[in-house]
Parts: sequence; structure tokens; C-alpha cells
Amino acid sequence: MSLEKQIKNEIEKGGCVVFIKGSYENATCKFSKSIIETLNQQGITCRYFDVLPNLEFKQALKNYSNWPTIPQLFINGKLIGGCDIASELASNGQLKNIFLNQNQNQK
Amino acid sequence: MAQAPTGPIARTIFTKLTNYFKPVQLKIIDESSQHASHVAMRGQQSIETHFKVEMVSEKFEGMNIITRHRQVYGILDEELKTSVHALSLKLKTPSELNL
Repeated sequence: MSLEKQIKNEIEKGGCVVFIKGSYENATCKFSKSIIETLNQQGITCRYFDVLPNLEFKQALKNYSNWPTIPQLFINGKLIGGCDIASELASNGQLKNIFLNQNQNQK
Repeated sequence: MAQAPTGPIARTIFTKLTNYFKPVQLKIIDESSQHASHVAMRGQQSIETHFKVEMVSEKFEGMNIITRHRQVYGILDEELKTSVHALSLKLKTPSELNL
């Protein structure tokens, strides 16, 4: 299975998925750290994937999402954006709603 | 008021964004030196790789946040494929800022 297909399958499982630089415990760039902090503050549980070990994986993700930067946040199969968007949506309450609505849709 | 960055990439970003979005406000900050230590940057010059763009334009009316980001990424596609690793964006309409 191609990397893009693997990425697509993971994202389409639903829930909250974030692609970052580094691990959850040890993110290596300030934007990845920022999105982890935002999601934690909002009480949103996510699956985290590190793009650094494999350049092809990182490129496959960018091809799939047509989004040029890392981190990338997906909720319920849909690209939400990077850390700026996550912060802005968190500050006006929309991020939590998007996450909770997707949970309701799955009930 | 911070000095606008003067490097070639910054100037290109400024020109492209001005031409397409005709912004009422545009601020471009080169944040590359803040990222010099992170893994992907080691051994590379940390010049013109990370930018913060704050822009106010009527073109964003009716666009949700992700669409606004995609528009800017689209215009700066070439720069993102070459030297720019990260773009921090704050994109507003004049009415959102009561201008």
C-alpha cells in the first residue's frame, strides 16, 4: 500500500489526528509544540504522528492534504489546518465544537 | 515599528501578496533566526526560511480561515517549494478589524 493510501486510511478512521515534527513528548519545532499545547488545553485527545523519520512520509502527507507545512491537524477525516488555525479556532471556541460534533456524528 | 525584512525572498513575498491581495495592511517578519537550532535546520543557513505574515485584505471577505490560508499558500507556492519551511499567518478582513 502506498504511503499516501496509508495516511488516507489513518485520517479517515476519524477522530483527531495530528502530524508533527518530533514526538508528542518531544516535539522539535515551536509550531508543533504550539499545536500540542492548544489541543491539550482544549482537552482534545489525538493520535500523533512524527513526520521527521521518513522524508517520503512527510512528502506523501503534503501530497495527500495539499498543504505545504507541518503540523497538520485533521478532525473526522477533514483537514483543519496548522497551528495558527488551531489557535484561532481554539480562542473562539470553535475547535472544541468541531471535535465534539464529530463525536456526536459517530454515536 | 519593526524594520521590514529586505532579503530577496521577503521582497518576492511582499510583491506577490501586494499584487494579488491588494492589502490595506501587510506586515512580513522574518523569523528564521528563531528556528536555527531545530533539527531540520542544522548545517543550513537559517536565512529566509520562516516567515510571519499579517495581512488585512478585502479579498478574504466570505472566506473561512482555512480557505484564506490556502489562498496565501497558493500564491507563495514557489517559495514554499524552495526555501520557505514555515509561514505563520494572520489573515483578516478590514471589517473584522473595524477599519
